[in-house]
Amino acid sequence: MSEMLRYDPEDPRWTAYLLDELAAEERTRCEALLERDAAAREEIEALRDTLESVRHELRTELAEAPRLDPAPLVAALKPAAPRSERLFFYLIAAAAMMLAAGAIWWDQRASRDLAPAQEELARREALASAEVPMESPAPVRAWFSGVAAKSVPGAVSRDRMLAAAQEQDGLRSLGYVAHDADRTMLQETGGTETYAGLPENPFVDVAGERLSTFSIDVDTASYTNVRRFLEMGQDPPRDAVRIEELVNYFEYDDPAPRGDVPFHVALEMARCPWKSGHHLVRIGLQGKVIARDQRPASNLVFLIDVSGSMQNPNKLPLVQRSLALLVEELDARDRVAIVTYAGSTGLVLPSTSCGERRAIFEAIERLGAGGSTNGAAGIQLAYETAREHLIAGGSNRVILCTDGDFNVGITDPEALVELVRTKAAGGIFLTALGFGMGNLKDATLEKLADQGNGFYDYIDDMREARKLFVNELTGTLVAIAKDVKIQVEFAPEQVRSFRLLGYENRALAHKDFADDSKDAGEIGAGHDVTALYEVALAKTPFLGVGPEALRVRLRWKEPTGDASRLVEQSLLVADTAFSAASENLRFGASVALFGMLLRGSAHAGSGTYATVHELASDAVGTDAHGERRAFLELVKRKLR
Amino acid sequence: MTRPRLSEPELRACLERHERALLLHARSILGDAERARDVVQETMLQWLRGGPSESDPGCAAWLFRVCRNAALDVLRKERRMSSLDDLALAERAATEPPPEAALDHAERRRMLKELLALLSEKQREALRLKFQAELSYREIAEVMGVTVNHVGVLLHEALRKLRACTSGRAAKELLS
Repeated sequence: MSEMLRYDPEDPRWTAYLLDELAAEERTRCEALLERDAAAREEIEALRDTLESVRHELRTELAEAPRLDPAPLVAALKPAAPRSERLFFYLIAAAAMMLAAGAIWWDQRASRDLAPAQEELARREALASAEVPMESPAPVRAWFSGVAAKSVPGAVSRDRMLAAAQEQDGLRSLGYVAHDADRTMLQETGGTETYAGLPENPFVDVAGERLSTFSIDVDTASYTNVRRFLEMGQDPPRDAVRIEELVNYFEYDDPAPRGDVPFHVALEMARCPWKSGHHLVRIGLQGKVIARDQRPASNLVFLIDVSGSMQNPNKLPLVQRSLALLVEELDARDRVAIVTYAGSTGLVLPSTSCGERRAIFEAIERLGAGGSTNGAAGIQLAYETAREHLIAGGSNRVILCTDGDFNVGITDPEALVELVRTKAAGGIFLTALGFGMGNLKDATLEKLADQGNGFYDYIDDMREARKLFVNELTGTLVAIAKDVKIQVEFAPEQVRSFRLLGYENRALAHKDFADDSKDAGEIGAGHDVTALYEVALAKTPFLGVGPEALRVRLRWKEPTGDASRLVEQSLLVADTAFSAASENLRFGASVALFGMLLRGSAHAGSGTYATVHELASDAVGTDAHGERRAFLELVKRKLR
Repeated sequence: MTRPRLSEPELRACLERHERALLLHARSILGDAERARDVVQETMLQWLRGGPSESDPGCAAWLFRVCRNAALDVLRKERRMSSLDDLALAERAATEPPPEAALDHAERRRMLKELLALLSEKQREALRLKFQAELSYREIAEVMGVTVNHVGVLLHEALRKLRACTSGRAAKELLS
């Protein structure tokens, strides 16, 4: 940053100064300069006049601006209780949609699903595709170091950490911080990362096998990891690409569940865009949303790897900033403890109410890297701490933060997995967060989280931390259903063969579907889970709609329950053009194709990266958190 | 994602705080009050379906981003159809003087309009987001999809240009 010894009228900091957007330090410097430079003072006063005039005029314009008619919006607030002729129209619309989509909602009369159907219609019409050309930022001189970091001088460490978090967050998302550290790391370590082999699902002939059974998976680590590779200009290792995790990274706007089933199931069929004559089937689960203020209390124990390998800026410091972000979102109902493992294991912070944030922030800031790793002993201490403060009906969770490098003390990984499984049965779930890179043990972390009734996410920067701990906080902390299994039965007269896209390592034996002792995936509040099948139909349907093509059965348990419940739903054959399919199906399919291409799949047909880009850009939707647009940017890297 | 039902007071508070600035923002992109109204209504519907709560500090930026995207989308679709008549109509709508109301302001409003016309589209947008939406630099950057630094440059250059076009004193006479 320039020192601002002389007055430079072109320096945009002057406007920032007038608008009170400068950090305190820079503001003082500006004032000092104005103090000694009378000419500068005069110029800045003139600039202030202009600014105030413009402000005044624009504020006047604002005060006189027209207003909306609030009636339609107020009406949208009210649950659907329409007049009789509108009810009739909705009934027709809903019936038509159900016929077209071939979906049969279980356990409810048609009238209960009217509002989502109507909403979906309106939504598709209104904001079908909102692709926005992101202007690439011009190479601008770094004029000022920061904007209005409204921190109180001498305030607690929390402010510093949050400011740092926001700084990195903003800078990274604006493309400022290069992944140089990452690049060097990769070269240095020569890739000691390990990924479990993942052979691709084949096409299955329905004449010989009409069932397909798998566990759901809400992990999203693979997407973040793949993104990291692509942003470094490298192709990810083939087995690091798990298609279902790519697809499930994104939010989809399926209707919210109603009744006592904690998720809504959407089924849909449309033509396959990369294989002429084939069709895609989408199964979309939308978990029920829990409002922040209704979130059950949390008892969290962070188990943090502070071994030497965590010393890089994209590891421990990122863990610290992410935790600060999370603690900021929690309140006095919640408890946080911190256990570290590094040579000797220690309870760095005993379980503390989040009403006492200061103590927690101080403990976070004290964390330092050093020593070697002993994952097992740390895990035991973490579970003990969690058990001592168990909150009945709350979210009890050990959150493991590591680069996956358990390199001391674990002689038997199976024993570790067994420990995690037993504790999960006792109501303490495990979430695994992978940080940094270089020696990420992807498979270990996935397996631990899987057995621990938790999920596995990979955090490579503050974007990801924010997604997990702020945007999707309740989903991160609160499970709404566990051991969710899906079994699809295809009708041999209608479907010749099928292929499940992804979920390779989530396959279950058919007999385990109804076996409640067999573990499966969990759904967090508000989570979306999508599964896609590519199918070859036995015959072209008459007039585009045909008889029942498949039946989907779902089994799940309440988060603390032992017995599973079953729901069933069927889908009719539908020869819908791909372009007429829902945005959910279109976007999900484009992401799946992207994964297939990255894996060098034998089934990508005519699909190319250009296809992915084209399909995805037509299905960006509202994209409230900008993730779909960021996906387009990622795809562009493969187009160059 | 869906959210629990909002109360009517919450909706009204959000409208009270943002709708006028949203309408002006949409109108400055579309050049047409009617379609601006549609876009803002759609924005508010989106918000009801799943936007951040009104007390969330990110709420304003979220609203303006959704509104901007929707307005640009309308524009893009129309350009695709590209009927000359439509474009001419939009242009006429854009330059039509504001009807009746506050005649004493009319002259100043015209001058402001002329002055703002001297700026680039981006500069105008940044000014509106600053003074009408009252967003911070960071939020403006988020809405416009540019860097925070770039927002600083846009605003500074806009003000300098306005100041150059009027002299210091003349600016006061013209505008206040």
